Amino acid sequence: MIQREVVVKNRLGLHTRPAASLVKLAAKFKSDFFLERDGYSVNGKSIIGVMTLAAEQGARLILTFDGPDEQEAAAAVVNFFDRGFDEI
Amino acid sequence: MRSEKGEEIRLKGIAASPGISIGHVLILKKDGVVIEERTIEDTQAELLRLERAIEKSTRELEKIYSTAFEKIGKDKARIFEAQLMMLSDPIFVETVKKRISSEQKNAEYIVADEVNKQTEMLRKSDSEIFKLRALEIEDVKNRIIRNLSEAKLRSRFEGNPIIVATELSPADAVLLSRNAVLGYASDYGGARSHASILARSLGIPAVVALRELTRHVKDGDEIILDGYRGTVVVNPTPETMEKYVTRKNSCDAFDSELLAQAAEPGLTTDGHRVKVEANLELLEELQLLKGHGAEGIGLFRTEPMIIDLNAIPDEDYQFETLRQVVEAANPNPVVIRTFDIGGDKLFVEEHSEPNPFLGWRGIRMLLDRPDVLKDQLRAILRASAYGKCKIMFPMVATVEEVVKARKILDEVKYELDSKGIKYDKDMEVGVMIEIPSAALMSKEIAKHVDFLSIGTNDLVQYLLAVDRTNELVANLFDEFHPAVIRTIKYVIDAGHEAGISVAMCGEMAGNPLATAMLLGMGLDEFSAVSSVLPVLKKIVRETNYKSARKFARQILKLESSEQIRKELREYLKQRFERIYYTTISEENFD
Repeated sequence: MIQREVVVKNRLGLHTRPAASLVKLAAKFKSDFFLERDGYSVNGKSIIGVMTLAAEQGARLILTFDGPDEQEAAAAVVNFFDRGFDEI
Repeated sequence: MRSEKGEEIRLKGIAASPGISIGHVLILKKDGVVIEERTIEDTQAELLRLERAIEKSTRELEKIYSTAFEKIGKDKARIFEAQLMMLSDPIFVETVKKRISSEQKNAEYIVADEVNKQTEMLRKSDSEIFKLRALEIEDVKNRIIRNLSEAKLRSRFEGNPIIVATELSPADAVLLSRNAVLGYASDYGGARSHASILARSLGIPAVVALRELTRHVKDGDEIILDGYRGTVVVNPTPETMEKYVTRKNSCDAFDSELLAQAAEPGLTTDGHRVKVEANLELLEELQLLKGHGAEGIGLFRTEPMIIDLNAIPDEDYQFETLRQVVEAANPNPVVIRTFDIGGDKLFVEEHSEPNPFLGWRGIRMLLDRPDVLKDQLRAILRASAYGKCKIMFPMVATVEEVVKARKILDEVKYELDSKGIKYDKDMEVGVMIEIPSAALMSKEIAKHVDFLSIGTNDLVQYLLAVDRTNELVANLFDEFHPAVIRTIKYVIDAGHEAGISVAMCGEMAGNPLATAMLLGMGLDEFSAVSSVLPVLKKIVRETNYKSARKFARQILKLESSEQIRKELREYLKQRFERIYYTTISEENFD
């Protein structure tokens, strides 16, 4: 299991569109993927879950990856956050 | 369905519509569908039913998605793509299936419960964006549930229940009002949400923002709803019940006494005439105006048309709506306010502002979008041929804005003349005074218009630099701050100096505490939610204008809102004890 801390960079935050992209990205990997904010944790493979995570610009999230391809999954997802969901 | 009687529970919410109701609970889930919690026997059949409903919902959404894709473009259609993903959300679908199997409950109940659990955080959030997101998710839930229980849409039912819901949509309120509903109570919502406005105009008592009410009640529970004080009592003890029956009888008697006198004109004991008018935004409210004694519509809000359509309505659509209102109010006047809406509401996808209250809204947006403004002005002018209309511009900050808006109005009039289209050539034009700069410039602005109307909600917010939706400072939002009172007086005097009338259409206009003071300050027109008009009329009709003027002068000298409130309460308590005890006082009860 590995954990990474990321910051939401784009102005509109983790809104519907990036949430959908994030879930699609996570679905490519076998590992479990969770996002946590202030003790509230959601399953990163659930669009409904990710949408309920009220993560605005500047929000700090802890990402947890657990499974056979956790390294690859973490690299891809963290990269997506670093790119500001391709919105900056 | 009723089990043994539970313990008495009292909950405090926001009083959304006056009146007291005593009855039995009927729990309503979203979309007018009453979701029953059933125990199922055949789990496999229930799972199949769920799968079919999801399939059907998917087909529906795919159709919507492809239509949207063609008509509004890929970007805006994404929202439906996300909804499609929700329908196939593996975690969600698996959780629902597992719960159906383990809890042996029907699919509707589990789907609703699971989604409600997920969106709870969002719904409780103060952010409009997160609340909207909850609605997006709930939209999917409603679609599944509708497809699960097609023929079971329950908008009619037996008996006279008190409806309890997590939140009531305007559509629910309208649909339910066709039945003999005794009252509404909901976990969420505010006094100004549409369902609350509708409840007031329909004369159905309502209490909202009770937070956890739905957790404490079940169908058939005995419930008391006090729409004056915002209290709800579930499973009342016999003592509580007796107390409330007495209170209800006395309030009801007073209410019918007020209604019986409501048609009288707004005339003080010494012959000073003021007008008492209604604020209106929904056509459903029209029928109630006469009964409540409205001498016209002092504020007709046009934004609901945008919200209903989720787009800016074209000229003909606006005209049809306005014509109905103008005809219904005739011969009394209707003050039509042009769109008072921020860019965020108009262009949801591509437009957002960090601080919409200080941003591109009201007349600022309209002057930048003359196409939108002209459509609306044409619609209003055309409607003016069917009765008496006035036009009012919101969010004015400068004289120049008024001049510009009037110039565009003249252009539109010229255009109608050349086409031979009829309209009222003497239609009055006014502005809202709700920005401090406009209040300070009201003498100059008054020279360019036929009337001023004070919007207290925004005026207080801008004058005191307080965002009332921000819990950290909400207690500083104070409509009785001496600066607010003095500003109002300044605007009234400025209007009178220019020889025009001054109205008020903000919340303060409907607050019985303020009525005598405003009257004494010289306010010409009070415009408020229609249910409170009989109370305002009574105060006006039993007040001596000369002594009200004296009272207002005293109030204007005070230095704190605490002193002002104390004086206003004392005044009302001494002269209008029954109004004081039904609508204001929290004392001597509960």
